[in-house]
Amino acid sequence: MITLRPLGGLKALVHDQKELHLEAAGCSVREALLLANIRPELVALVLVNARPVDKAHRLADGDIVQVLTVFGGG
Amino acid sequence: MNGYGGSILRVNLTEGKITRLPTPADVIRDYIGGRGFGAYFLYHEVPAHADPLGPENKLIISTGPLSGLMIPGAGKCDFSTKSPLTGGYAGSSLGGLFTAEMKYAGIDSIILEGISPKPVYLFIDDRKAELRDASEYWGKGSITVERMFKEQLGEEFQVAVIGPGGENLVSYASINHDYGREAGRGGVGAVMGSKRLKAIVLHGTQSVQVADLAGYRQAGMALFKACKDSDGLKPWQDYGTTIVTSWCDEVGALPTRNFSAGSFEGGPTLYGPVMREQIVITDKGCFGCPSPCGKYSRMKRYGSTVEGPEYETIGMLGSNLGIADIQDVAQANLLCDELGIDTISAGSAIGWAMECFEKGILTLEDTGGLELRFGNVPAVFELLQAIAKRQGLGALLSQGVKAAAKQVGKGSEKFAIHVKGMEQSAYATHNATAMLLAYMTCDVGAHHNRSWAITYDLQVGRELVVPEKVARIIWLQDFRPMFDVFGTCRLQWVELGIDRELYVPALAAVTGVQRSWEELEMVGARIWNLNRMFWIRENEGFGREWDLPAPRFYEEAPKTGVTAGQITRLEDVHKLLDMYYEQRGWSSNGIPTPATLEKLGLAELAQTL
Repeated sequence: MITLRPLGGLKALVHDQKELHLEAAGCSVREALLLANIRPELVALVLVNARPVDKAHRLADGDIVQVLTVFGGG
Repeated sequence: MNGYGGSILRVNLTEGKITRLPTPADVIRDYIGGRGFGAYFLYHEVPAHADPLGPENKLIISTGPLSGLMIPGAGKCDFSTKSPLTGGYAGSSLGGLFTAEMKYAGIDSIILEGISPKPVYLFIDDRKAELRDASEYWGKGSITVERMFKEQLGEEFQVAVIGPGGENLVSYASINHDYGREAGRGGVGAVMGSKRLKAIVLHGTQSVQVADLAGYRQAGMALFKACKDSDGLKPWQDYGTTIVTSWCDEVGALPTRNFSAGSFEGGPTLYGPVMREQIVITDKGCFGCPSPCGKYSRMKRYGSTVEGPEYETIGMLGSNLGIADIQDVAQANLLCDELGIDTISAGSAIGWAMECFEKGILTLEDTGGLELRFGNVPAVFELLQAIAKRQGLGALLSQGVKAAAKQVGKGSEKFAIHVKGMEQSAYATHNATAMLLAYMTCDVGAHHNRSWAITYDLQVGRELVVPEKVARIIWLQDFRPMFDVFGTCRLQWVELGIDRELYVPALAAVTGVQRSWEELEMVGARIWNLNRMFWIRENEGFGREWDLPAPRFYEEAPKTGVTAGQITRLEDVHKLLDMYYEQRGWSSNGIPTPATLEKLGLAELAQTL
């Protein structure tokens, strides 16, 4: 089980849930996002246990995954 | 005049005369401040067809009603002028601490006009304002001169200064402040240089009167609390604008080798987390910022430090030039800052020249012996110096890619990446129709900050050409620049997701005037149309052709990366413009109709059509 926390505007894509618990240990971040119905291309930054990783990163049981989009640009 | 400094400081550099007059109440009512003041004074005070670098052009520097107050990011200052790069309206925004001191000196706008017979700087200390000899500073770099002023006058003085680029009238010269903040776009630094004004050095101590002190405190605290509570705050502070580097690479928006592609094989070495780990020393914010996105970086290889690089600079001086080392990019950033030239336009000009060289359009004879291939870092450093000094190939590139390509010809116009003469900032728009339209119709040329829509393209379908996309762009263009009218940063709303409604009571408590977002967007539309009319007045034959993007985005699909083979067709480009003009209330040639002007309170401008 992993915990997925969409930050900022991404929460709107998961009905404003602050976190989701997913059976995604062993999955890539990209696969976990798809499980949560979040399109990976909308995610700009992924933090696993507060460390930045790319979307190919494999998740382990108990990981906390924070994902952030960029809605506005500079 | 609640929320305002209360005066306009007019500086005639030809005569050496400085006057202060009350800020006109009707301009406050109709244009509010900041970018609104800049657009108003530019249109009404600069005579038609004035030479951008001549005495008739003016440089207008404006605070907004929220500048310098207890509001998140209230450190934004607007610089407006007729652009030497485009021949149209230029409006560039500067962060840092300058605008707060300007407000505390009781000034809403500084209007610079005429040309000084010798180099001078403008010294302002509260009510005192005078022009002083600048021969000691002329010829020196902007960071060097700022440091000199701070040592000579004290840290409390804030400095806006040009470098050699501005002195030498480089068409995209910047005005620099706080060792790494720039009013970068449109050549505002060249206009300042043309007036032989090296710097503005100012300090103020006066209070700003607000209409409702308790309401102001409450509204300001509500905004700060919303920023503090945002779960996007920590990553935004850690990475700032570089959050988007990896994402742009992933979605094909990272400018690569003069925008010939949107994904860069060396991209991962430029990503935000890599930069943070390798070179960032600390974070840096502007006045009143709860979410400091600026970064100070140390380049060990060069023994130097710089504020930055921001995403735009990474895109334009990194991937766009085929450079895959963050220290090299940061060093190029430092060179641009000291020389006083815009990193975006400089990166585009050099990228264009590199493509010309690789295609044999420019030869070793043209480049002065430089092997101007993508990825050649020493050549980039040398060329940046040459641009600022307008020497050799640098003289050609100092005019911007539109003028340079016109001069060189041989098909190079097709890969000169600009709209209306302004080099496109760092989002590749192959098959991203909303963002492409945003660039095409932006009121300064191809700049991203008025409306930014790449995520929106991905959300709704990047190839779609539908009225909803056009409506989204117009809404953003009317709404987002209002932060530049208030004198605040837009990034708290943009990236922390702060509810924009929180700004309404803040503005009302400060100014005593209640305005809904509907009314504020009307002011935004008024400014947008006024600027459009400035373009029309200044450029004979202005119309649809001016809004077309670089042919690269409709004729030549990328060969590599995630957007390989993808392109927006020219007929869709025109369809976007058809819908845009219709929704704006403009003619099919992109000219505001008399009815539209009348609706926006600009009826008198219809006579000029």
